[in-house]
Amino acid sequence: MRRILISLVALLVGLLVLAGYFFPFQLSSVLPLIIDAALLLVGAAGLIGIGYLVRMHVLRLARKERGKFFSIIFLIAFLIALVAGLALPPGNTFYRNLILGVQVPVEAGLLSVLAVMLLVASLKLIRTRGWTPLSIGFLSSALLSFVFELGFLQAEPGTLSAELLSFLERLPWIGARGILLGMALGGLIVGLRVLLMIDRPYGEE
Amino acid sequence: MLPLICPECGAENPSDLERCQDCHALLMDRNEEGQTKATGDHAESLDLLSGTEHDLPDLLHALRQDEGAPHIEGDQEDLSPEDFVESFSLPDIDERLIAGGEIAEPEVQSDELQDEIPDWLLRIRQRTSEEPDSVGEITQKIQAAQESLVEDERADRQDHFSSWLEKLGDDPESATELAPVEKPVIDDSEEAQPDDEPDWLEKIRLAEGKFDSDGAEDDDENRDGDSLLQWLVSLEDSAQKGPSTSLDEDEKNPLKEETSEEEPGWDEPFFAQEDTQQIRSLEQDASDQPFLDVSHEEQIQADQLAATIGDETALRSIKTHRRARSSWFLQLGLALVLMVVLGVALFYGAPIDSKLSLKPQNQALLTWADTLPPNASVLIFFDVQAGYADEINLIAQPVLNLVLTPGRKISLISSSPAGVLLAEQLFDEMLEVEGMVVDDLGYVPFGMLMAYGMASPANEARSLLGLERDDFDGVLILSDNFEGTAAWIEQFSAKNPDIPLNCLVTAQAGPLLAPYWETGQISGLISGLSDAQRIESVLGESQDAAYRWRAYRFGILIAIVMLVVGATIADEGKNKEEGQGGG
Amino acid sequence: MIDWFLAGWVVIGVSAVLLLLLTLFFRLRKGYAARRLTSVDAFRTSQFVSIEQGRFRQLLLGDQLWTSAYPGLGLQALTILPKLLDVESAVDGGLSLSAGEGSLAVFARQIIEGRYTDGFSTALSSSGVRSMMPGVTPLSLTAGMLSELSAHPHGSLGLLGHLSPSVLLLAETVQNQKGHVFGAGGSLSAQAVLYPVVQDLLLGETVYMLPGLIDPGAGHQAGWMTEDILRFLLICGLIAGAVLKMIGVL
Repeated sequence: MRRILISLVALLVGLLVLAGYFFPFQLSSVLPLIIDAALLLVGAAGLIGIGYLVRMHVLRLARKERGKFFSIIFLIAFLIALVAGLALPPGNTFYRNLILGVQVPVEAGLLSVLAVMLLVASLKLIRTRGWTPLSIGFLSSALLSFVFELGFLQAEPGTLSAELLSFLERLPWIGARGILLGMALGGLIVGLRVLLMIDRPYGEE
Repeated sequence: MLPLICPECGAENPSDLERCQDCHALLMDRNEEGQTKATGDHAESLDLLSGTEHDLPDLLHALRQDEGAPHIEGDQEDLSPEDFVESFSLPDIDERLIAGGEIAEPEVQSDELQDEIPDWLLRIRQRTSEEPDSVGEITQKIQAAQESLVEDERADRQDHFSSWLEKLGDDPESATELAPVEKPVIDDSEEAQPDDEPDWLEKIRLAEGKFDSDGAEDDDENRDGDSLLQWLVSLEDSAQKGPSTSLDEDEKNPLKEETSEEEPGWDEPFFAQEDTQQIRSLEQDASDQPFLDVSHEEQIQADQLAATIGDETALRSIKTHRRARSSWFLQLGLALVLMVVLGVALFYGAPIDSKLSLKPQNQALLTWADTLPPNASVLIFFDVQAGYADEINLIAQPVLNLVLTPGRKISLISSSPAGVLLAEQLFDEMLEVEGMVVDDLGYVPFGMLMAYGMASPANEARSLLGLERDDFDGVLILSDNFEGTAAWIEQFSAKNPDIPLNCLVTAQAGPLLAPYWETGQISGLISGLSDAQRIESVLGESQDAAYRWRAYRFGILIAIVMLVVGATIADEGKNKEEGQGGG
Repeated sequence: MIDWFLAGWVVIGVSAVLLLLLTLFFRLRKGYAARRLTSVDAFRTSQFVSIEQGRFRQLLLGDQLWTSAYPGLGLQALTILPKLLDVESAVDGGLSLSAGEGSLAVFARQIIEGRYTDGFSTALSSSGVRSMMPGVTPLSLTAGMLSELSAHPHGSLGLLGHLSPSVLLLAETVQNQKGHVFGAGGSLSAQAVLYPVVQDLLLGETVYMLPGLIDPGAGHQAGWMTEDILRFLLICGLIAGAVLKMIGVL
């Protein structure tokens, strides 16, 4: 009974939101309420997520697991950020520099490591996948994209070579668009299966 | 009514039945052929030998042969087997046996009667008178067996019968006196050829395996004189060896009783049908397994279980690819190469004078920014992570310089946690310009919902974050991913196609957003360092992008070299497994 | 001029009807056998091998529950989750579920608790499966996961849901520990970065086959059939549109 009720509520809200596309003015008083409620829920889920994060590090510290030193650093940094954010007014330069001074270099460093990893991975592409049509296509697309990105190949607009270059440049995007279409279809079916209670991941079927 | 014993399976059946209840064999035919009836009547003991002439016991045959008994002629030929046996019955002898006394000499009959009595009968009587103990002992035993048949249980009779047979088998007198029993000839099909033997006896012998091809000779050796008693002894021996049944009816009756041998004691009749049937002990072989009623569903489940069990030990085609582990040396070397090359490109030498022309989408965005009214209201949506902040700053700076002019109203929304701080950092210097109104709306956790809410019409009493969709002359999206930008484009362009939508995105999102530009859903698009460098070269305000663009080009060249080298030196022999990804 | 709203609603309506009818059909009759993917078999085997070797297993449910471009990925990861939770997986306490968004973490926790209360005795502790949220943004999620993966030897890493390109770092970390990596993340960028490195990788809409391959059912088969029908109709529509465009009708 509870599961049916939950699914029914989800279905009704979804229909209401979708009806907003057809009857926007008639539902103009209802839709903001729904959106506000959804934003509140998502925000609450975000806070719960932060709680999960803190809990994970506290447990790691309590159980004296490996990496507890980094958990201590995390908890200290979290407390400082939390206290400073609550205490200092919005737009405070010190607070902004305190946070961004740590976060930007860390994330940029991660992306740099990622770039090196990708270079190493490109070296192992054929060794890992072998000479298959898919790997050859992947390799060709990557090379084409890099070459076009360099900017060495140019042509006057309106000429045949410009059209050819434009075609070659957009060729890899066609495959990506096809994958996105398939993903959209799959997502539609997954959502319908949950809404129609064919698939119930939140309990025994 | 006496029950009928089935000659095939030995089961007892009511006398009014024609076929056996268990094996459905004919009962009446067998009776006519000589099926013996279970009896407890002493008087009928010797009447069991009913049937045709072929059903005459061996004793009678032997007597006829020894004494040269004439063939039955005349009226006696037409006699039925029962009548013939009855004529042969010795009621007087029976009475004397019961009494326990010796058989007295037969009364002298009148001459008339003597003339009517056949010679062979006379010979029998003479024999009994001359040899008082020739068959007396046997007859006494028969009588005793008959008497005990009524009293004893079936289990006791079995024990008595086996011991009694053994005893008879050791008796030399009985071996010499009785004529040898003719052995039925068994052909390849193991069917006893019809001979003088009764059918029921042949079947018993076949069922007990007495006259199989292997054992027939042995049976011959063991049999002295082939007398009836020898046959009984040998029957007992075969019963002890565990004969196996080979009748077809056995397969149809899996729930057959496993009868045990029954050995009649001294007082049990010779030819009690019950004993005979019970001698034919039924040893259950593989075909006699209890029949199990298995439904189709159960069979499927059993097959499934068997397949699962078999599958557990089955060899699996699991790939056991040997992945060449990236040595830390290689990774370190590559990192050093990158740092050196990019560092040199960044800090040394003059920037490359790019002669790249603006792309149409770049030009469109610049045109929009140029043509904005002086008091325009622009919504800026910030969806960037801290790691991409530098790239977005490079891309957005030239455009924002055009947009952020005094007199314009700027609304700022962020959907990434650090977006608020990053936006402040980006607009820090620009927002200090006098006359510019900046409305920082903060962080909204779900950007897509925000887009939907803003695109929907709001009534006067309530609006989303105090914003009205008609307030804006344009929307500028700064994003590092394709998904968030697409959500805004789909919601806004679908419901408010008149409001221009422009995107400033990183290089990874640009290619996937290009179709939105081609369909006219967005007014302009600038993606990545390459587009930023083009715009910078056109506007000519700074060269920050130009230096980075040179380093970027060197990085791309290194990547191209790595791809080509990796494809060239790939040793496919080390990795025989192929990726099995879908799609 | 085609009303794309209406066209979208028609597609949704047809999908729903087809899904219901085919589910009923496959429940009443025997369905069809789908092709087996060795990647999925290898993933399941790696999980069991990790249990036997006493190594940890990690399942990443993605960094977002819902995105516009990949609407069903987060839900897909949650749908797969119950099929991977069994007594054997939870017996050694080495299975960890990670998510990059609060709602994902909450739903994952609900599924863990529900799985054990609905199917098993309530007295059973569900502590055999740990759920965590190593980071609130994609890059911070990667940083937190790197810390977690380095702390314990992992034998198996399953990448599900919506992923960012930085998951390559996670894959490399586990592979350096001689663990097995299975990728079923749906985002294009994640698939692109994982393709040269991860052998057992599901690409494109094959990702949506995963729940049915692990635990076949009438609903999954109906979903595949519906998807195939829609895909066929879409292909026909694209070809027809291209032809009409070429001849000048559109």
